[in-house]
Amino acid sequence: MNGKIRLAEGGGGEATASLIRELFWSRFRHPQLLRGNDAAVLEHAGGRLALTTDAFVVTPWRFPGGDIGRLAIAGTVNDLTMMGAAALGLTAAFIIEEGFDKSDLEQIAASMAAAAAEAGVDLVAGDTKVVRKGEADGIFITTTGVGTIAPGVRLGGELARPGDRVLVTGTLGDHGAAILLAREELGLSGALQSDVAPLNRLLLPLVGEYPGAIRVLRDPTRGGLATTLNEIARQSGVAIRLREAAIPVRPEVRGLTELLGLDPLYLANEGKALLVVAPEAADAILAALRRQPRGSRAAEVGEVLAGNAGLVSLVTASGGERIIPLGSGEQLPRIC
Amino acid sequence: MPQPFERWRLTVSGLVQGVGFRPFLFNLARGLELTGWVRNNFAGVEIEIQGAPTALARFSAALRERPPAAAQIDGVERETIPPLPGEDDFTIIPSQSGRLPGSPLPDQGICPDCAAEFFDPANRRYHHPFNSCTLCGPRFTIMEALPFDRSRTAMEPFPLCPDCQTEYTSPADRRFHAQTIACPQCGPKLWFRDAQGRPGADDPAGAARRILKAGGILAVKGIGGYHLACDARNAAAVDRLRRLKGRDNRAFAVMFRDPEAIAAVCRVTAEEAALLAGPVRPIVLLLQREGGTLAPGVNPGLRELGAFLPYTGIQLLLFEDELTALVMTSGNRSGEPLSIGDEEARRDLGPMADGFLGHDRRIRWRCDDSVLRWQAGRTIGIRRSRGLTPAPVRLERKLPPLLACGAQQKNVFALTQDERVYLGPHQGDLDNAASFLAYRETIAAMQRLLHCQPEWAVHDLHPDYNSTRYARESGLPLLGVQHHLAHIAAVIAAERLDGPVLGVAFDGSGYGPDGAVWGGEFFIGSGCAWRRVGQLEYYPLPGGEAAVREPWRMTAAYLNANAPALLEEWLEARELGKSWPLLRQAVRAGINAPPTSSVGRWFDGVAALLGGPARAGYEGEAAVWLENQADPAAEDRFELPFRLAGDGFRIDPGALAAALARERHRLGPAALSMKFHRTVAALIREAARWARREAGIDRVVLSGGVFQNRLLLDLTLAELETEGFRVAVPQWVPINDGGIALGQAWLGGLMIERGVDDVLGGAR
Ligand SMILES: [Fe+3]
Ligand SMILES: [Mg+2]
Ligand SMILES: [Zn+2]
Ligand SMILES: [Zn+2]
Repeated sequence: MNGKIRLAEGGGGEATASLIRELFWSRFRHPQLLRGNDAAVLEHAGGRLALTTDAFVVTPWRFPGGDIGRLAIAGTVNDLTMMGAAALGLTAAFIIEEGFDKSDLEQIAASMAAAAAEAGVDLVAGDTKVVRKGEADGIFITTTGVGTIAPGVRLGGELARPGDRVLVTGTLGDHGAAILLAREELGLSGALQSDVAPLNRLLLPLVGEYPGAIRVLRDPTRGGLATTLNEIARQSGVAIRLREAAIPVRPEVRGLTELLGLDPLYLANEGKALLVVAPEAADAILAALRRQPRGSRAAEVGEVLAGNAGLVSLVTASGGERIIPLGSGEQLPRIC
Repeated sequence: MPQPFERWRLTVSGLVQGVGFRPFLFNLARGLELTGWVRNNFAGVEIEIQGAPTALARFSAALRERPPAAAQIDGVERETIPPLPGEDDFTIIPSQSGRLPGSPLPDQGICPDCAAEFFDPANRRYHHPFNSCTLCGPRFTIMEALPFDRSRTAMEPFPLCPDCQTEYTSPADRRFHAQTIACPQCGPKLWFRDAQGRPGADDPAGAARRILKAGGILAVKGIGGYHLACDARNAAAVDRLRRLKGRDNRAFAVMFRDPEAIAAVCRVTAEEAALLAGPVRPIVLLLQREGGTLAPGVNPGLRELGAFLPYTGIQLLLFEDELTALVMTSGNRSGEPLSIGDEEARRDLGPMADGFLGHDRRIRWRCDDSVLRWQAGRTIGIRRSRGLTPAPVRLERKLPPLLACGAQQKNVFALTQDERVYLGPHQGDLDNAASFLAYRETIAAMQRLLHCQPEWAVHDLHPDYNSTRYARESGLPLLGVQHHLAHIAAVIAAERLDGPVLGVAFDGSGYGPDGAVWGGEFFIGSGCAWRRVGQLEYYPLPGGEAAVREPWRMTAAYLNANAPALLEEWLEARELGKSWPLLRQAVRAGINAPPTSSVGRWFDGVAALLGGPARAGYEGEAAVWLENQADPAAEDRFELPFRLAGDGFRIDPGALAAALARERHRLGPAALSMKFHRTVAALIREAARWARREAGIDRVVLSGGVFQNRLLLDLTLAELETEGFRVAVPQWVPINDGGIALGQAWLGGLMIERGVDDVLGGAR
């Protein structure tokens, strides 16, 4: 492969997908990896385990609503949750830049401990490396999680079927918008809070209660709801149609994204999940979500359709139906 | 002593099938007492003709000089062959079963003879909505397959009655071998349904007219799809249609009963009159007279009106008494593809229409009305569809078989076959899901119809155009062509230019290989070798696409860099002061504020500065406002913000915006808009002088959506032509993104042949 890595190849869009396909999937061919789900499901004599890993590189490391420590715990707990797995334990690896404040590190550790307690999971192993100034940007954290999947639970992006409904557990774009404001010192900081939170307590009981009816669970992190739905539509060979009016977005987020010309559907979330559920169970699951504080703004936002495999679209407020593509990561205007 | 007989074989190529060419030759030959035969073959028409040499010469001359109106003869080859003794008649013989079907013909507007019958109470086709002949009627839009034969069209379910059959088989009849003819006995039937979809009315057309007269909205099935119609003089009806359709401020086109009705509302030159009445029957953009009687909501605030004439008997039936001008807008919800099926029309247009006038003939191909303008002695292409699709654009050389995927908006795709480029019908904006699905289907269907098997997909460089995505998913080898070079290449292809040119692409936005948003570009080159010699200076595009919807953002970007104090004052006055500080931060931080050299955005920014809309309902609305403000009598222009840079030049749009801001209180928008237009035209002249001086070039190509601005194009043509530059614009192919596919085909084809993958020489 020629050329240099471009930033867009880490953006979570088409460029990232093709980098992973061409560079990694061509060499690591385990069927679990190639499924492209949030965690791998490994079978062993005693049942099934879910295994996942994630690297966190957020700048700034502290932002309204959370910090990199909370993010590192919630992110991995959520990736296990999305496979219906209850965490057995987490590991964390730290790469710290020379000169990083110890008091900041302490704050990050405390925040990790608090998030782990909130989720009811334990950090069971770790690793710490310090690199020279300039070789990292403050602090990077990688967390790995392993969890057990109860018998009968089967979730995956390839399981959506025509007729299914798409639910989200709350407002979209909060994390992405908060980070944007915090990172670029755009004034307004504090007006927007990241939603970063572990979702296992919200979702695992539902997975147990509606086996089979919940087909797909995903956390729409990098690339947002749009990217995640495109992945699901491709994995399942279906079309997905959203209704703009039904999608919950906070007015502050809406205002910011309109001003900056961004689309909340493509902004990252760190405390939200999307569910693809059987139509007959959709109302009950939505009601159950809404009874929880973390799901109070849950909504049904769209449906799964047959035909036009891979097509995700949005019925706008004015009634038109717009394609919601997997972005290239470049974000340049397409209006001539 | 009589002259010895000679026998000639003539091979005529071009659009000569389905236009009444063979009956024309038959009558010509009989009139000159010549013998022989004619038949269709894969290239066109093949003739063997025998008789006295003087008569043969007259035959051959007449064939070239006065063929049927819709025929387009590309070439006639002549060969002298031995005479056939004993031949005593001229006949039409069956088509040669060739390897390729003849070129498919576009739809032809109803001809004068058929219209005369339509209005003649004594004629058996009086008020027959489907009247047609060898010269006129639907062609492409009813085609299932080629060659063009009734059995392979949507006329197949309507077998000819004995009277029509007689006409069909009489060589002297003008319906001889006409595939689409019908009469009230054997033809398709008109029907009427009310808003609830209930069939009814013995007189469907009468019921339809009652709706129009009462100020209602009628859905009418025409040739390439449904229209929504209402009385163009009824302000309430026009406003209601606009509201129900969810239509922004874009103008509606108006269909007039006859040329006199147009002349009462618009100024019409002889050339425009000919365009309007010709077989293409396009919408022609005309200058409207002062104090016309149309509702202001038809084309709010505009000097131009898109006018056209009925092109089928169905439409002739809509007019009566005072009903002489109808808004005829495409039958769709705004942004969606035109409805062609009766069921989808009932579903999609039902909420808007008070009644439906339809018929039982299927529309096979969706085809919007074409749009043209007559300007400075040539047509300017705006939209190429019904009446022009799918007549190929013929190039000087063969191209490899390829699919040119087109742009994102106003999409048109192209397929190539030898030296022919077939442009598909207008597909609209591929952002829309239904349009994109129709695009995919239409490409596949056109490949089948034309027997095209593309081996390459040529696409825009923009990775997020849905046409580019389609290319990636096609599985074909890919080739990218830069958007603005495609704009220029389209003109080179359509006008068959050769030699180096100065290409001026003034456009909204297109993907630049340097990651910037291009749109004000000057190229010098030919073939596969191009150099970007000039451009607008880059300014940030605050919020990316949001800046297209909100023109004030560009004003802010220009003034922020050149006249911050004037910016503050202006923002206060327009009550935009709250939004800018945060946006300015975002621009500084590089959040979604790519650099742009777009001229479209320059017009937007200047428009907003002078009081135009802060929000644009459609792209270009602010620029259209600016053009319509201009007072042509205002003299003078600004100092040219033109400077030499490196081995080329730069134009500073921000400096000019600041100059305008400084004069804002002294001169009104009418004078300032005119000064601005004059300045932009003079900048192009300055660039052309540079190209002549530096590269000896005197041919200038103008393309890109900004040149839809009539005033700008008039001024630019005048500036260039007085200095002796030869100027080319796309005449029958859209000057906007509807022309991109042709440029992609031409330039992409060349690149494939020559194994070149970067025509800009890596110039960034
Ligand atoms: Fe363009
Ligand atoms: Mg992950
Ligand atoms: Zn006719
Ligand atoms: Zn008949």
